Amino acid sequence: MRILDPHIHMTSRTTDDYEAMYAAGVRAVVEPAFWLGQPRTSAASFTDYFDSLVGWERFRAAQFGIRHHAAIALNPKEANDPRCRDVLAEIPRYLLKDGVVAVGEVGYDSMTPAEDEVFAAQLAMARDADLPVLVHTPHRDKLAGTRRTLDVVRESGLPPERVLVDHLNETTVALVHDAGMWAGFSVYPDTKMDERRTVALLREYGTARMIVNSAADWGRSDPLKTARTGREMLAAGFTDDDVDQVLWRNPAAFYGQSGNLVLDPVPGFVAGAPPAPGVEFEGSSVLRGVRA
Amino acid sequence: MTDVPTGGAASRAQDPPGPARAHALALDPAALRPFLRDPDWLDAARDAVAADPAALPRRFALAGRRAGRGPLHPVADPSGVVHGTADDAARAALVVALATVATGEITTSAIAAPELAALLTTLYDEGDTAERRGVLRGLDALAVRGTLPEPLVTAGIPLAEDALRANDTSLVAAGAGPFGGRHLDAHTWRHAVLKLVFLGVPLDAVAHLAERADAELARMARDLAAERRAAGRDVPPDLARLLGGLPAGAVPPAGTSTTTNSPAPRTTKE
Repeated sequence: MRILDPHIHMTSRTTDDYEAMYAAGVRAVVEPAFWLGQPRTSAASFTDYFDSLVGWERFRAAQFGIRHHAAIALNPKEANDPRCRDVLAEIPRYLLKDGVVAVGEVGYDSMTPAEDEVFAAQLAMARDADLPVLVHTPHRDKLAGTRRTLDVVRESGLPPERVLVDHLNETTVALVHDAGMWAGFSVYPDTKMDERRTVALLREYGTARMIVNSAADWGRSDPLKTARTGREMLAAGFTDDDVDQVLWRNPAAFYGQSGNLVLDPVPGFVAGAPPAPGVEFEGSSVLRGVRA
Repeated sequence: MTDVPTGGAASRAQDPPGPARAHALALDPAALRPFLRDPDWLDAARDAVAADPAALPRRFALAGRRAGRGPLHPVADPSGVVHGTADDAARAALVVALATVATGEITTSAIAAPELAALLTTLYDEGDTAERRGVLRGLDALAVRGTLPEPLVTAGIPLAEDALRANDTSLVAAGAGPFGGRHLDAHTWRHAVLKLVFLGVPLDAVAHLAERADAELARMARDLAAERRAAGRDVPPDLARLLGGLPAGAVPPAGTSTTTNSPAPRTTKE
């Protein structure tokens, strides 16, 4: 089973997670920019975070054989804080960076006028940068929020196939599916979706334009939920090819629209090889010393 | 404290021979072409940058996608940390395109030295890891080519020092290239070398190693070897290169007189 987790916040996870993810078949991830749990107080706090997403985190993932990509945006929650909005001026230069495969997460949190403005501005940035968009749907008032989300996306003029609308459930999937956009499901231990319910929706709606992620972060979450959903699909009678489509080919096709997705194996990485610092000219050795 | 060789020609002659390196290829467009995914893109980018320095940031960001990111020596150095990558060489070539050398001083075809220094600082500060490497490899290329004007040295030193504080091995290695080898002070440079040993990066990544390795570096290497043995861990083989090629245990503590046949400590230029 090969897996591209299309939405996971690896800066909040450990190296144990990376090892377990590789063992479960994860070979690539996309990490969208999001809220850190603690509010930021300036644009500079965002730029350091964005630098980390395209820098240190990518390096860290590569140590474990996993290709790391980023989606960059001002998240909806902090769009409401005037101290943070200056970061919008910095975002276009990040959208040019290697490995930035989308604008995201954008969308609504509380559906305020500030969120409207920031959402529309970032959809325009996506159009200018020729990038797809990862859209978060709100936790509260989800159905109304999803409807309003789709209206704003339509007004932006972005083609529907460039938009992935995430955190969907039984009540919101039809809206997105019928709009011709990609439908994302975050499989969580307690909230959002679980494996069994996700598989039921795959039965009902088919496997085209359907995407499954772990959305693992600093909250109670599980970076192996993609693999677990794949196993649940197989148990329910889906084929290996169906699983490959949902867990690999679909997210690869969506983010591949950026022209900035790299999916070949990490050069020099040998699974299970112990770090071998100081060994000259041998495969992975140059990448895997101790931290100095 | 700075240890800046004067007279670029003498230092040039001591650059390690052998495999093509990013900074060397940046100075030789014909030799670079076979390493690139789209050599015509680089030619056009070089022209665009020479005509208008404002064209550089976008070309810098796109270099990986257009020039390729592969290692220059895929077998010996699959990650490209030691000898650099195709995009390292391409970005360095773009830096070179902004500067031309005349009579040992950098004059500029498109931009004056203080402006070039400011532009490289912004490119580094706003760059991702690969772009930061590109700035450092560009400085390497210019340093190998001739004596650098003061504004570039002054601007480049804090960039190399920043790279050496990173944990990304490719960035640390780029900080220890010819520019760092020439312009970093002795303390900073020794720590760079030792850090590469810690990170498991072959010391082939270090420019001017034979020239600058001194008794203090040998002492640091010896202490590291002792620490590793005390912990029951392997002693990195590259440490021997800092100890004059002898087994680590054969070298007496620094500062003690000796009648053994240990190598004479190398002296610094300070």
